[in-house]
Order: sequence, then structure tokens, then C-alpha cells
Amino acid sequence: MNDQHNNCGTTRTNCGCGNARTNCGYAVSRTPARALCDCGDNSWRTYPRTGEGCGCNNGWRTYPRIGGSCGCNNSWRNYSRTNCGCSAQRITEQEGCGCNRNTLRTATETTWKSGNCGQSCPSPVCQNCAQGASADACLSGRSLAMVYSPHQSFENLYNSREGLCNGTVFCDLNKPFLASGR
Amino acid sequence: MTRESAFLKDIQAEDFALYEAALYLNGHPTCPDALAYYCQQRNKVKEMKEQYESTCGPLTIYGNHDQNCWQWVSTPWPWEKEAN
Amino acid sequence: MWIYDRKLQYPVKIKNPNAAYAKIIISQLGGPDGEMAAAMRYLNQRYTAKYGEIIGILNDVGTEELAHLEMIGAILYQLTKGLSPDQIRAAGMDQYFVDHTAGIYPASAAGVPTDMKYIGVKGDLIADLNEDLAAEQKARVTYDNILRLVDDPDVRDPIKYLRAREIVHYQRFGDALRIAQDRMNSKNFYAYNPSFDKGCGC
Repeated sequence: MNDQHNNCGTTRTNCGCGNARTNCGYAVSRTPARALCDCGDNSWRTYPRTGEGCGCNNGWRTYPRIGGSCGCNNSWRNYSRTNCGCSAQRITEQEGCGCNRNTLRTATETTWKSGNCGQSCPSPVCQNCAQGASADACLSGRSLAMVYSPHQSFENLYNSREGLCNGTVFCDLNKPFLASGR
Repeated sequence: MTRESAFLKDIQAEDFALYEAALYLNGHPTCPDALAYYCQQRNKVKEMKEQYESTCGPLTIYGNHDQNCWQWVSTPWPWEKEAN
Repeated sequence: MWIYDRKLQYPVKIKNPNAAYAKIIISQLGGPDGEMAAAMRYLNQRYTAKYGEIIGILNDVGTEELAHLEMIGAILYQLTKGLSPDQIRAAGMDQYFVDHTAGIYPASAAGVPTDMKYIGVKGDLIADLNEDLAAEQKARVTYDNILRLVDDPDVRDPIKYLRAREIVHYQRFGDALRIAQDRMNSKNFYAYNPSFDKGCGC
């Protein structure tokens, strides 16, 4: 281990530079190429989350997410949770990047888009609302004395002319009346 | 169908899609796809409405472009057949 | 405030006047599940509603209902324009005619003037949203019934459009209810009314 970044090695355990960290740590003045050491440089480092490689600090990161390395937006996350964790505002309640304290998950999501934070679910194991699950499975664990509405994704749109004709731009909301026989 | 009413129909369609996106966004304010769609539609509608108002007549009370004529009271009202 | 957009939300162009159709369709103007009641319901509920998203839904669905009541007005106007008194009598519209001529007067098909008793504004977030869900379904059924009774494609076309809007609004109020649930305590949604009670942390 030495302070030369081109000796930093490709695995994190080799990476001690300057402050000889076991993960990829650099002294403030260093600017190693990210490709080499798998952590970019920044003076504001807090070192990695367990098992996720390059950790990100809890502050204002806006590094681009290149090849799974470190860079997540500090605000509403739209990166997959296998990348750089959650912003400081989030409380991770389930594996990976959970949702805000007030918004628990029901849907099993593989990518965490900012509009995709799922719906309320009192149960920590929110597998039940995956696609194809029955209504009972989907609603299990929900509080009684309430009705629940499925989440509509922004997808399957008609073009504007067709949309006007059908009375909606959403294919999934087009439910014509067939009983009048005309 | 007149040129004006064909143009108005196009605006109706694009404006409708914009309103649908806005209603969706009220319930999903951070959805990036909806926001992108809304942004795109808004620009499209704005341009079409400006075109329409400068050539056919006002669409709101603030849109009377003709400096010599208060068209607001003389173009057909929307419930008339000829306005559709 | 409102700015008037000088176009119908969806075109109405009816070639053949028909007073009998007008007699039925008027219920969607002034009837219990009509567009005027819908507009008044949502626009009045929005003042004490809670959470921006829900207020937005009430505000903007309510505004759209004003556009719909205008479409119904246009349909009724075109259905009754140019009719002779004989045609009006033959269609059974004479009782309406004597008091209103061919004016568009918000009433139900049975002749009952529109009434604020048709709307609920309970001032409780969950109750009001449930009211709204029910209202959209009832409006949808009324449009189904109009489609059962009306044959003219020029009339069916805007009616089908308005019916489709009710279904979309139903989903939108479903979104609103979901948002309310997310913000409230799922262990007991009824502990507090976010529209009124203080200090509930809502």
C-alpha cells in the first residue's frame, strides 16, 4: 500500500491510500481515477455501507451513477437499490432502499423510482402485492374497516386524438359500456 | 369542417391529454414519467394555442389579439354547432 | 378563480334536434347524480380537505365537472334548437316548455329542480372521499342508462365521453383515498379527522 493511486488496486481491500483504509479511502488532496479504485474522490467521504462497495456520504451527492459506482441524488431516489443506498431523509425499513417512514411498501419493486415508492403496508414483508397476486393476498395485513385502491402506473397511453375519442389517455382506464347493444 | 374547427379539435385533443396528465400528477406528484409527459404536452399546447389565437380568435378573455376588434363577443360560442 | 376556456372539452355537434332525448339527458345537468351536483360537491369539499394532493384532486376534478355541465348544456341546447311547439308537445316536453321555453334549466328528468341536498360535504376527509367515489359511480350508471335510451350517434358520442370521464375520476378519488391512508395512522384511521382536529400530527 502506498499513496500512489495507480497502485490502489482493483479490489477494495488493496486500496489503502494515504490513510490506509481497508476500503477505498483517500486523503483530501487525492484525485484518483474512479475506474481504478472504484470509489471516486471527494473530501466528504463516509466510508462504505456494508457490502455495497463505495459508500456515499449522507450529504449532498450528485455524482453520476456510472457502472454501479458511487453517486446517488440526495433527494428522491430514482436509482435501483443495488446501487448507492438511500438519502439521509430515508429510513431503510426493508432490504435496500426503503421508503420514507410514513410510506411503507406493499409492492415488491425491483427498481426504486421516485414515483414508485409503493403504498402503505403495515407488514414488513410486503411481497404480497406483486403482479398476479390475488386480491386477498394483496390486501392481507391491511387494516380492517377501510377500502383500498390499486396504484395506477403511468403507462400504456393512447395518442392524444385516440385519448380524446376514448375519454381517457390511459388504456387501463378505458372501460366501455357494452350492454346497450349499439 | 372549417380550418378553424379542425385546428380547435387538435387543440382539444392535446389539451385533454395535458389535463389527464395533470389529474394523474395530483395523485402522483413525483412520478418522473408523468412529469416528462406533462412538460412535453404543455409546450405543445402552448404553441398551438398561441397559433390559434393569433389567427382564429381568442381562447380566453385574455387572448384577444386583434387590436381593432373585440372578437371575444363575435366568434361563435362553444355550445353552438358551428363552433364544433 | 376560474378562467374561461372558450372551447368545449369534447365537441358536441348534433344534427337532429330531439326533445325526447333532452328530457332524459337533462338529469345529467340538474339531477341527483349530475354534473352540477358533482362540481358543487368537490369544489365545496376542497376548502377543508387536507394534504395538497387531495385538495388538488378535488379542485381539478371539480373544475372539470364545470366543463362537463357545459357540455350537457350544449347537448340540450342543440337538441332543442329550432323545435316547433308541435314537436315539443309530441315529445312530452310541454310541461317543461311552459315554464322555461327552450331555456336550459337545471332540473332532473322528472322535473325536480337541482338541489344541494344531492351533495354531501361532511367535513371529514375519509367520509368525503367515500362520498366522491360513490358519486362517480352513480354518474356513470346514469350515463349507462342514457346510452340504453338514446340511439342517435351524434348524441351517444359525447355521452360516452362523459361516461368515460366518470370512471377515470373514480380512480382519481381512489388515488386520493390512498394518499389519505398513507398519511394517517393505519392502526386507527378514525382516531382523528385531519380536516378538523388539531394536534393529531396529521
